[in-house]
Amino acid sequence: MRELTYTEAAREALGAEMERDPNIFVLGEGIGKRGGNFNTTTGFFERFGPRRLRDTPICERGFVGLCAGAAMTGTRPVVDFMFIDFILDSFGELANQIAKIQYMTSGRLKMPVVLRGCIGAGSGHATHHSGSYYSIFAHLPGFRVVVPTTPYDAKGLMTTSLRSDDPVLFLEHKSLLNTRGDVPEDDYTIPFGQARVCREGDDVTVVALGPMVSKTLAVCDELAAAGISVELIDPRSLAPLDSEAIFLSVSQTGRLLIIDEAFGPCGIGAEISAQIMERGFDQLDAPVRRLNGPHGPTPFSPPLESAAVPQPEQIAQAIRNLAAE
Amino acid sequence: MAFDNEVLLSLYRTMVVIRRCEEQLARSYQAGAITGACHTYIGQEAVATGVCAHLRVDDAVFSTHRGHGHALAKGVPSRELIAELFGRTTGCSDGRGGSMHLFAPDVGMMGTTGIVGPNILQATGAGYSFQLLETDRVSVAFFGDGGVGNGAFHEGLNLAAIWQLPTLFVCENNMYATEVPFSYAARNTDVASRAAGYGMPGIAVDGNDVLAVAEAAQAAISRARAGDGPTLIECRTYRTRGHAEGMQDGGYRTEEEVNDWKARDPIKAFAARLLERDAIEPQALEQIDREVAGQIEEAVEFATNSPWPDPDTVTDHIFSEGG
Amino acid sequence: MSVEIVMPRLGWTMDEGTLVEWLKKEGETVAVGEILFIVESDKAVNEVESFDGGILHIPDGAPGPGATVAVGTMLGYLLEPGEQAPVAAPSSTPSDEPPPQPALQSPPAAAPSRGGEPDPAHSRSSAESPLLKSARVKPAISPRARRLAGELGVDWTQLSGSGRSGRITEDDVRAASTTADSASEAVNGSSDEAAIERTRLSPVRRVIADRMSQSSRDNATVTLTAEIDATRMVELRGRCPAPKPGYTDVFVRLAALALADHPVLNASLDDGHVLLHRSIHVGIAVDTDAGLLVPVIRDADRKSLEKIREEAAALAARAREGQLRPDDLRGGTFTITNLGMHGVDAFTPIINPPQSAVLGIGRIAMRPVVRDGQVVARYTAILSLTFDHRLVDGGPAARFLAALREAAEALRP
Repeated sequence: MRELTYTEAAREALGAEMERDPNIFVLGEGIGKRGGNFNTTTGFFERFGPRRLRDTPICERGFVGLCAGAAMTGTRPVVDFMFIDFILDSFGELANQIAKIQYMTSGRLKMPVVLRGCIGAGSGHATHHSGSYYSIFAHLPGFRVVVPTTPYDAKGLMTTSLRSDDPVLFLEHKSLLNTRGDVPEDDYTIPFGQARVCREGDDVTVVALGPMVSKTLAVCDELAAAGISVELIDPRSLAPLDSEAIFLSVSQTGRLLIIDEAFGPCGIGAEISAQIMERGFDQLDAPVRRLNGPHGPTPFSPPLESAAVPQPEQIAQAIRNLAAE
Repeated sequence: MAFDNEVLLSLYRTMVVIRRCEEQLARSYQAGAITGACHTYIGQEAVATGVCAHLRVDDAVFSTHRGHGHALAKGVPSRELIAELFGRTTGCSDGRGGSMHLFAPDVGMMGTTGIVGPNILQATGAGYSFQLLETDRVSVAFFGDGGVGNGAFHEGLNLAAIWQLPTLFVCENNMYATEVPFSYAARNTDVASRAAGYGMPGIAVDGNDVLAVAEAAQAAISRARAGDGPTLIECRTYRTRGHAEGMQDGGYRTEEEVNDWKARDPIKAFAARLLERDAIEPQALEQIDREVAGQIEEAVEFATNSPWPDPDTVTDHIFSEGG
Repeated sequence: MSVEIVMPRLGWTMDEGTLVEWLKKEGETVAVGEILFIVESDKAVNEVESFDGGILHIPDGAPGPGATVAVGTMLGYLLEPGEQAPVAAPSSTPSDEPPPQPALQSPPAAAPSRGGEPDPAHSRSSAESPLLKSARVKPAISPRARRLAGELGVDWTQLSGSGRSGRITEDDVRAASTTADSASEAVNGSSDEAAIERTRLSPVRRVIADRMSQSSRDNATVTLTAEIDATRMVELRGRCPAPKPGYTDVFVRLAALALADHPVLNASLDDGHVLLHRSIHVGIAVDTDAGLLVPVIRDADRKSLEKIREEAAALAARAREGQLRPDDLRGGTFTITNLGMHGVDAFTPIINPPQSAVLGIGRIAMRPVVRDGQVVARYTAILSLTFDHRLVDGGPAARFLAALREAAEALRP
């Protein structure tokens, strides 16, 4: 099978769906002729023209609010935020409008809006370009939230997102954009709420998000040699969350560690922990543990930035600690 | 611009429907049949009536927290409005919305909102759809003078102007945002003049003169349908009841001011004009008054006798499917 | 006033010592400076002089000769004439409890915890005193280990935990259970670890185990059997075009139609309420490598035989490939299980909770039958209906079974 980068895979899905459905259009800053800061729409301006690849002024609230009205009247907007941090300027339009309109109209109106952007620290962009924020949106009723980690998942989940009539946050970690992997040429979808078991194991279940998946995989062999067998789960979508898959795994291992670069308090790890405790208390052989970045803004200088993100040695230590509980 | 008698009478009827409906809702509020917010439109009927007179069913209206009049003028039956405020399943939003969340997309009523500003952007977005879909449909945002200070006004008008979207921005300048005078909230109280800053036409009209509103709207709608872009219309008007039912209405405006505006009642003024200038028989207006009174009476009965929503549906329709 | 005699510290590194022997007897008078007892420490054997005088009293239960005890452990008393021995418990700790763990008191050397992972050593040291003491009173046990202890009949209060902070874990319970098992096997002379392959329950197996034990624990089950004439069914199937329906498919349809007339068999008990299900969703037991799975044909009473065949085939295929979706398994209101293909004639199927009944289908075979006084060969099968007597009485269950038999025998190809 052919290999694509993560960005190419997501772009292939977007291009194919735009061919298929003329009502899809993309809004964002620099996504027209420039093809997107992260090459999300390279070549699309020539393919689809200026009305479907629409460069915007720098007014996130304005064009996100616009998307609500567009979706209410039959078109299917895709907002390319570039850095997802910019989404916060439009938060009211999302939380109060886009998330609620299907409900308030009893489903008479649909809300097919894809909100995509790059998340995460590690690229030296400091605090206004390094956030994640997915927990905020997973907290609100009305959003689908996906965090694909492989090129295969990026294409499949992008296709699913574009075909969904619900608002979807499609969040791409900057450190994954150039990673390569097998991607089928045909179109395919990956359902929301379906986790992927990346590695099977008996002793500790690790749920890792985004780049934490590969960082965890990197230490699994070393841990196996030390007698700790890790089962690694990539939830891929946070809303809905495949708590069934996590529950089944914890039923085997009795131990759960959630590794997430984003903030711990009220974060997705807290939610997973609560759900597993509520549902699988009697399966737990040790307290559920979390490993998060520190609860603070992301700093710039490389040693500081690296300290703001869980690193492999901390991951390995956290797994060892949990295995010894 | 001339309107034939049939059109004139239909404008009159719409204004009377709004007035009687609002009076009934105020009564029902006091009787305890309505909970939460209830912002009446009494005094401003000419604006919704004049603008919507030229809209088609497939044109889209995005309204405010003071939106009963827009809903009625766009074609939501009075019984569905009253049932909605009564919280019944027969309401236009199935009882999920109440006064501030009226949705009837089948007649192009795309919602009222409890947040000031977003509807300006949503109307802009509908304009984007209509342009992308290559239709001649238009969208309308109603908002008050309070919305003019909100960032959504700036961003929405700017986006509509740069992309020449088929959208009307209708400011109902009733001089107060809740109790804050517009003269306090803005150094430049001439809303229409702001259009120039965005490169679109702006026009100010007497918002208590339904024909003046209708003519301005007609011109703007024609321009929008022809692909010539958006228009800002400022309608200067006044609400003669308090900001919301159940709220004190004293302290921020004088009794003289309220009485002056009551004397400029848009319905009475229009009736007088119809009788004098258009030679319409008084009986024709009386008949409309009687029919509307009966319609509102029937609507209240319908709402009162309608079922409450099923509590089991509390989480239905959060997502398009599953969920 | 009495004087306590304790295991003395006889060197810098001595934590415990072994009482070798008393040199005085119970009730004997001891003078200051006399050799009282002999202790063996890690360094040497020492004679211990008495600092005090008095009458030696060695209480019952005090460490005797040969016992190794911690420094400070009470060994006995010196009493004044006529004095009663104190009744208070010895003040010091017996040495079979863990000594204070030095590791807990110094921060770990490397393990950087700047990520949000709470540092276990750190959090424990701050809470050490009261929590650990109460934990010693009753050992901490993980929820999983406690559940397992209940299942295996292990008295966990007697276990010491291997987890950090002494928590009893699953492994501790399993180890205790295995020890007990092998001990009893040793008594029977039949222990052979190599003869046992030990694997963990798979998630599917665990669900099956839970549901089956719930079923047999909670339900008041009765099984009725009835023989039916299946000749027409065999003929009907023979005339169906390929792909032909299975007999199970035919029974799904017949049972669904019969259930519509006998709703109490399509019901469940819920906290003191009877739930009569308006929809008839029939589960079909499917044997897979992973274990028994029961995918569901929804609204089976409203589906044609062909439609049922098609859905059942798809479900069975998905079941065997491990591709069933959660929805495929949810919401069954009645279950059918067919063991006829394995040559089973009749059996007692177990109800799939919270359903109220399950139908077992036996082997369809040519058997001698008496018809009009003549012995003739007919295809017959035995149906086994297990029902929950809490909810369904024998009469309604028998009528349902009779209706099913009549429907099967009245089939028209």
